[in-house]
Amino acid sequence: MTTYADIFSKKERVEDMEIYAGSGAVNEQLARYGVKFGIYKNNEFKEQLFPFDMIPRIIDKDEFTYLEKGLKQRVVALNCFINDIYGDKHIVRDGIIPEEFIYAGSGYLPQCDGIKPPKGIYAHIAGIDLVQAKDGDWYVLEDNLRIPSGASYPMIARMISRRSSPDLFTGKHVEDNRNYAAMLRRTMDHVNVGGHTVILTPGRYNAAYFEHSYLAEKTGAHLASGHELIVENDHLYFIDYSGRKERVGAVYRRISDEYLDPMTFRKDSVIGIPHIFDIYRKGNVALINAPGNGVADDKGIYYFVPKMVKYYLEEEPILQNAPTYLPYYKEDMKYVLENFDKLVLKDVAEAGGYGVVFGNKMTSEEKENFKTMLKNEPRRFIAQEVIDFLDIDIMEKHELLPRKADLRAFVLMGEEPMVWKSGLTRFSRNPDSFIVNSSQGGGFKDTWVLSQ
Amino acid sequence: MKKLQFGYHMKLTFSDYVSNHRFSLKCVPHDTDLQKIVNMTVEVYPDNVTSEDSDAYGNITLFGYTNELHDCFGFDVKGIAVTGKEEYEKADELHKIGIFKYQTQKTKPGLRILEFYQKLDLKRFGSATDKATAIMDSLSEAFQYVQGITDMETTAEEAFTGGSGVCQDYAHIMLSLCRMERIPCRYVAGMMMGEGLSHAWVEIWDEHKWRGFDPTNHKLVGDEYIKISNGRDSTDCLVNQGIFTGNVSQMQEINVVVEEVFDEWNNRIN
Repeated sequence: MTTYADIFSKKERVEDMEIYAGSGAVNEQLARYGVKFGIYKNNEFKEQLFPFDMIPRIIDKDEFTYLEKGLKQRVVALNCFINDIYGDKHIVRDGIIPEEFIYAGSGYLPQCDGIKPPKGIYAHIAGIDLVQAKDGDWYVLEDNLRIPSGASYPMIARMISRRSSPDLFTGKHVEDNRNYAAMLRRTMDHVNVGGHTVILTPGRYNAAYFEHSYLAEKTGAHLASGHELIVENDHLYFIDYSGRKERVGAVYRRISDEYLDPMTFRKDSVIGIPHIFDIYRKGNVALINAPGNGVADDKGIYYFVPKMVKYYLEEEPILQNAPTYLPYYKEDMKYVLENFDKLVLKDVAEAGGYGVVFGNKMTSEEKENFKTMLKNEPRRFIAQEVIDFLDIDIMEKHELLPRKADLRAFVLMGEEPMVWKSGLTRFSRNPDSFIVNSSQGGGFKDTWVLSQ
Repeated sequence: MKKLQFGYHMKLTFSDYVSNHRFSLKCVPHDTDLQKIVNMTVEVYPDNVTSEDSDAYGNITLFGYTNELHDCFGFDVKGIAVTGKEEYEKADELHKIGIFKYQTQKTKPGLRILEFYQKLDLKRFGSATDKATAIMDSLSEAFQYVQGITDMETTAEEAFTGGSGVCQDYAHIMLSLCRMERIPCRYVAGMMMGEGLSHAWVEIWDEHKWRGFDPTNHKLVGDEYIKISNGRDSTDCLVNQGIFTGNVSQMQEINVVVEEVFDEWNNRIN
């Protein structure tokens, strides 16, 4: 594996220290461009900068070729799965996945049953979270198939870094990552059923509003909010400034399923578009990503993804999951109870770092209580081996410090699957923490994929 | 087999004018193994702008909008249903209808239903039909039909705790009990011979057949019933859903008439 130390000569490293120290300048530029995310704290909306660390994560060409193959395979299988679940449900019939993992979870949306989205694609944009262990092995930690965000951050950080320190990139053979917008546009155009392409945002108080506007600008799609779109006569229209209505054929919606259409999902949604789901059902608009993908990306289903690869593609999975146990199965329950202290337990219904507990951090009373809960509700939890992450250096006050980091890789399903030769590397600023979520104060890095 | 002439009238009167009205209606019966719908007319007012589609459960959905100011909204559906064509509706394989085994927000049991369920001791019975019959028998003893106590939002547990309610509540409680027994079952909205309100009952899955039970009237569903829609619970079968601009109160008027017809003209549609 390559680190920045291999790629920069010693002299360069010393000189680059100065440049890195100047990462303050890049951060200043990012602030100028409004690269922020919004959070609600105590009912107040605040915008925070997303701290950027200039030392890139570097991925070798060969290593990325391996990841790329595995990511494509995984996302193709996940798409097969979603199509099957809202169709014939063969994977349930054949007993590969027990039905309660589908029907008793909140991810399966019965309203989507029987729908064939344009070109049969459910997950157009997938954000697959990976970590690298100390031995160099990669593991998939999570599949994000609803509205994975984050691509805009390395996009703009690369653009600004190139501008502020052009020398940094000379002779380094880094794959250009400025093609994300073009890839996204191809993905959207592929399923467009005729008409404009729109990015639907809940508005500027959304955490990822910067990303919505940036991707709209870079792809040439219209940035619209719910009240600018209207369903009439079985089609979706964009109402422009003069009141003229223009047909829309594809919506990259950055609104979650439950708020998308008050006539089908949450009735109190004021950011959605009434009847958009009805015309989507009829095939008159493409929704990117398709509603209902939650059935494929919850923690309980994660366990089955390697099985999906075998089931649908008849191939061996290239990428591995973190070793995971389902207490739902008797032998796994036995293992979990016997090895409780070395496992991390996750509540399948929770997200964003909640509902995660480490066996060895519980008091003996807590352990007993947890084990009782586990026996009563075995389907509610998964258990995983704790992976020893590979640390990545970050620069803090002219000092290099090792930190935990993950990688969100972006896989786009156009005519064929495409993997973006970059990705969002998030790191924890707290040395003792494994949690890299931006809302928890983490920062991000650019991800360099080497071209030779 | 019967020929039933039906009329379903619904009218909402608003206390003031509203606009930007969007609506979705599930008020139109569709053909099933049991029933065939003929000579149907559908009128939606003040504007007849509607699209039609089937939802995920196979129910006909009419949807549309009225942008102009209006102070009433409604529909009239009329037609003939030939009912009792078969005894049962054929059901999909179990793995495809698994969703109907699981509780919803409306049917999720609480302590009172749980207690009642335990007393039922359903292990005594073998088939889903026998279990459902026992559930219906006990439920009609334990629950009173009284209008005006529960509303659209009432859950099975709330209704059961109160001890009385309407057909929707009977159906929800029965669904809750069947699902505790892991019997796939669904909520049905429809009409029944006579004059009055719309009706609701349940269907349970038993060996690839959907069998209708009407716990409100303590009887099996036969050819005096016309199905309009089915789903996991009442929220999948809302007759009328809408959003509009306006700060108003509204009054709903519903009148359902279903009569058997015997004339020669009806023999021709066989």
